[in-house]
Amino acid sequence: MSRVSRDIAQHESDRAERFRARLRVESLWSDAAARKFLDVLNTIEGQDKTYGAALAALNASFDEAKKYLGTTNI
Amino acid sequence: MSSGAKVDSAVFDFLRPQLRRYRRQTTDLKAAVARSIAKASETAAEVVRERRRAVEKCRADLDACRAQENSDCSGYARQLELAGNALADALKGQRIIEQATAQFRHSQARHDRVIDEELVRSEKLVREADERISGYVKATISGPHVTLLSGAASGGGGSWSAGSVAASSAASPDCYSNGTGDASAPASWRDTPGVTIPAGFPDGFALVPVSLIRNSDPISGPESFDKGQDLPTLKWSTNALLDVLLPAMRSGDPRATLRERDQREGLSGARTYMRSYSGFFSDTALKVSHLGPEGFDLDNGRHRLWLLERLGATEIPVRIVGPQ
Repeated sequence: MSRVSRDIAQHESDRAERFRARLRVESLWSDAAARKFLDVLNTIEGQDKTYGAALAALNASFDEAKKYLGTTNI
Repeated sequence: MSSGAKVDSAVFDFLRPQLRRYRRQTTDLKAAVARSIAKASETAAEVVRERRRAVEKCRADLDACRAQENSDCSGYARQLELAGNALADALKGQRIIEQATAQFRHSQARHDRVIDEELVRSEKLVREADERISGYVKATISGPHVTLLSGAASGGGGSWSAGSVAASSAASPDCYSNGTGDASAPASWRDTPGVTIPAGFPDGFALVPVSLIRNSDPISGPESFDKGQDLPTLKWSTNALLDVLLPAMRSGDPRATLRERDQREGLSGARTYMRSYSGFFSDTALKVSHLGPEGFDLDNGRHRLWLLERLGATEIPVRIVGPQ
């Protein structure tokens, strides 16, 4: 596992925390403005997911590179 | 509001720090990934350098062998071949890292842009909804109908450190008796573009753009704070100003609103909204002198100005000295 795997774990942790925050918001706020706000959160969550995939691709590439470099220090 | 709609105004106090936290998380993660990439690139470069040196050594050994007559140099030749293959592998690994990094940077840039735009949108939605609900609540019931959210405030309780905020009186009309907030007052600092006097501000106070405040003695960082100044508490109070105090001003009776919130959230000691209010809206407030059309000169509060700027505040409440 490369150092990026730690960043991925942090990203997942951040996402989980934000999801819990979203649940709290949904329990407190449910009008038209809330729906708009949740639409924005949906966009952010989608972007987070895309970013997570980019991090995973970076991590996979680094893992592949390690095989050629013969080192675990990446 | 439509049928089934629900708005607990505590949600806005919960969301503001959450959104700021999300910005911090995004910034911190970006920096961490950048460090990971830099480390991988450095490691790859180091491996390539080592293997180049190995190839050069093998080549020198082979050349030395061939310089001797009738020597069997096949072993050296084999070593050189292996070292060459190892270098080729290292270069391939380095290339993979470079290509993956270039591709990722594209994703990172897009992520940064979209997240920033969406956070700005979400902050605006929260601000507008909060203002709308506050007006509705004020018009219909006597106080906020909220339930306490653990951790809903901006990072725990807090107020100004002893010494920095000693006064408790919020309204201080004494030498500022002409500062009424009356828009029809004679031309003065009130006419300065960007300066506003929001409802609930005490006499002599206004919300002034940071860009209009000249600070001839700016502080350089946390090291500029005196030992007696409690920086974490000052930060808490500064957050409280932006997240709680300024919204509370709209209630018409901010001191009652803040006192109630302190009780509801179980705040006491140095970190309470009331103490923060006293720090920002009494004799110990940030104080500026009106210089004329060019703006204002900071007389008191350079540490708090520094903290507010770091929190991204573009307008701050100040007490204005000079003709009202």
